[in-house]
Amino acid sequence: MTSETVEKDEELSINSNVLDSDDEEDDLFKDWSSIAKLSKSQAVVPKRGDKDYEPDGTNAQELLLYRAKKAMFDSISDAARGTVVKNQIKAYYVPQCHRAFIPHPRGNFMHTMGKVDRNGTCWLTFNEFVYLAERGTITPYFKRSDRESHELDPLLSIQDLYLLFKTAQETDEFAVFAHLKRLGFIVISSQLTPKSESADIPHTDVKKGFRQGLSTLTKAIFTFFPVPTYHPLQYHLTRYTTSSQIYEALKNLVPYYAAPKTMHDLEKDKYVTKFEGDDHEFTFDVWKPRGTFKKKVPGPPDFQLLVFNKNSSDCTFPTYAEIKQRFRSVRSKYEGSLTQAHTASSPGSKEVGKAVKRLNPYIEQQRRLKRGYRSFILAVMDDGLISFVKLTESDFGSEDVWFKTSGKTSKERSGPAQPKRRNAKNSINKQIPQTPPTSKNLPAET
Amino acid sequence: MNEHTKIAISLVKGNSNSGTPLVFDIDDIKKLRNWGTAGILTGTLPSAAQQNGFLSVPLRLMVEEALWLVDSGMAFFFTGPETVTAAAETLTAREMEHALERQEKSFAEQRLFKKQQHAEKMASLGIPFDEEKASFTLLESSLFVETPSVSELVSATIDQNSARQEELWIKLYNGLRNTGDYFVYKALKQNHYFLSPGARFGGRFIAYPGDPLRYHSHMTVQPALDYNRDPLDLLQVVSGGRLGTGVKKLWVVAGVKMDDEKEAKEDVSFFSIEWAGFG
Repeated sequence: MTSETVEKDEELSINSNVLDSDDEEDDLFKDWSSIAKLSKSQAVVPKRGDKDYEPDGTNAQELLLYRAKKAMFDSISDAARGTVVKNQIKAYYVPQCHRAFIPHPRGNFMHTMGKVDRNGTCWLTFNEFVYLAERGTITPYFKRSDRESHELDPLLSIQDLYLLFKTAQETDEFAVFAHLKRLGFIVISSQLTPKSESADIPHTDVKKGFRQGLSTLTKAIFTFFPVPTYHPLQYHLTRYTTSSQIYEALKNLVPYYAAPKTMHDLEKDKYVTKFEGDDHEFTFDVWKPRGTFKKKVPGPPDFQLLVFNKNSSDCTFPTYAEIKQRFRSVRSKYEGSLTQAHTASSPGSKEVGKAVKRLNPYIEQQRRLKRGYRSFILAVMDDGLISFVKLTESDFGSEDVWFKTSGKTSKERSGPAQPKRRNAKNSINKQIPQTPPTSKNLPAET
Repeated sequence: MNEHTKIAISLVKGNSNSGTPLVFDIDDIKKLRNWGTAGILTGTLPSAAQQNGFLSVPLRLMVEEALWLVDSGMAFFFTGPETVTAAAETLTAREMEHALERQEKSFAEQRLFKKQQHAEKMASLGIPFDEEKASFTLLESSLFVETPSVSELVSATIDQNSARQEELWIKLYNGLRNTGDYFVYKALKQNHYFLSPGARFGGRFIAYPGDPLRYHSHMTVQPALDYNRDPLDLLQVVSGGRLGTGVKKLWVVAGVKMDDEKEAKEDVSFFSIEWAGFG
């Protein structure tokens, strides 16, 4: 019963336009006929889930398979890539800087992609260049270093574009980039995101000036791990009248990690990162689609994302220390998890803070536990299939789940709240519509 | 099999250990599919560019898949980016003009076709068609410029030199996180399974009895173990059984037998685990 209410709330809190999600993506290969729009024999082409257990050697099955294949290959080969002359936008790849420029830029993509220089030339990153060429928005050319004019520069094919990727990692990143772009998200390489907003927070600059060296470090250590204090006589001298008093006293014995919850904590924590000197960059900053987006002042991203190839010996799954380090450098928004008093000042959470109604404290607590605090998304590349996994910093230590928050209901709701991983994952899927079904079915590591 | 029927696998590698094998030619993709290699289509489908359900070329292969195809003589590797930059930089003015001419030729065909279409339409509507009156600018601006999938630039520079191929093969093999997976792939392939990457079902591969367009998969194959050395935790077996039941597949463990020099012998043992009676 309880979980039902909670789940309902989850649903409500999710924007209706991102709700479409991935409800039925559990099968890898789909019915291509819907896209092929074959006029004839629609009914016979296999629909999703209409697959057989194994080949039985019948002609009927062979025919169905033949049709399914034909629908697929027809739709691939019939989809011509390109534009009409009137809308043609030429982009030129410059091998020296691994970027491309558009001499006469126009088009909707300029809202979220490219960077226009003083001469009015739009510069695209290589990912943007390949993505736009692949969907036919721009026509890709190769800029010859020996010629001034562009007229005779050779036209590039999609194969050429992919061959121009410098590393395997770059192709994985492109695959994730293109996947999110096709879903409508705004994606910018984390290295290139304008980071002005982090600079205008006064704390960091002031601190940098005079607090240095050991003192900062020790202070940081203390604020991170609340050290339990214990005296052997403590439990003999106190008289306990309620169970919560006992819990309260026991709690003091358990060391725990408290996630930073207020802006102040966050800034402090970020400062430690700078002190330690390895500020890890994410691969991409991702924003949900919105009309008011500005390339120059994008505000904090909705998600930050790290691409990881699980089959290559180049990448390793981040260690605990690395993950912690990552959490510190997260710049993305919190989904209303900051404590109420501070939401107003936190970056970008304005609308979130307003929208949140005062709810049953128990439900709020459940949400806090489920959603956690800082988070980032790990895009796991498995030879072409991408799984999005959300890693969130959670804080069970600071929550008193056994407390009787309100009279009756507490009994059934007590007990150390199960993390409810399943639910947590569902909520991810809803935020990133049409993630491959994996996070649902990916049991092993997560 | 003669050289020309071999499939070109474009390998994006650079200095990294691993590589990304891609196939661009639709005919090649058809061939691969008939040979039992499905791969994953990963490119934007230009006719439906804002969705991820139906994608187009390039076809991305698993690294094991590419290794196996090259090893069995059905394909060869082809790498960039130097090949592309070199080809594009060394193109002579004559060749570039030639490309423009071809473009112009395609335009001429389109013009002819469009005019003919227009005339037919007018005729069917009963309006007399006047060649002079037809809007020239409108026609010109509606000509289509196509971005091809397969490169013409680099086709001349394709190098099937076997020493180079072998070098690439070894590098790619060594870049695998778990080299045993290659032998598992090979063994399953010899049993005529279609294989695809299996992280979404909790394994290294998932195996289909036939073309995945038509058949459900049967097995989720775990990353390869060393048959003689690697332990298999009982808890792992239990959770594997649960997982397999959850995704309605056999949970399969594969052990590759290694000889004394830790070189893999091509001998793989498979064990499948499922819930008894209640699955």
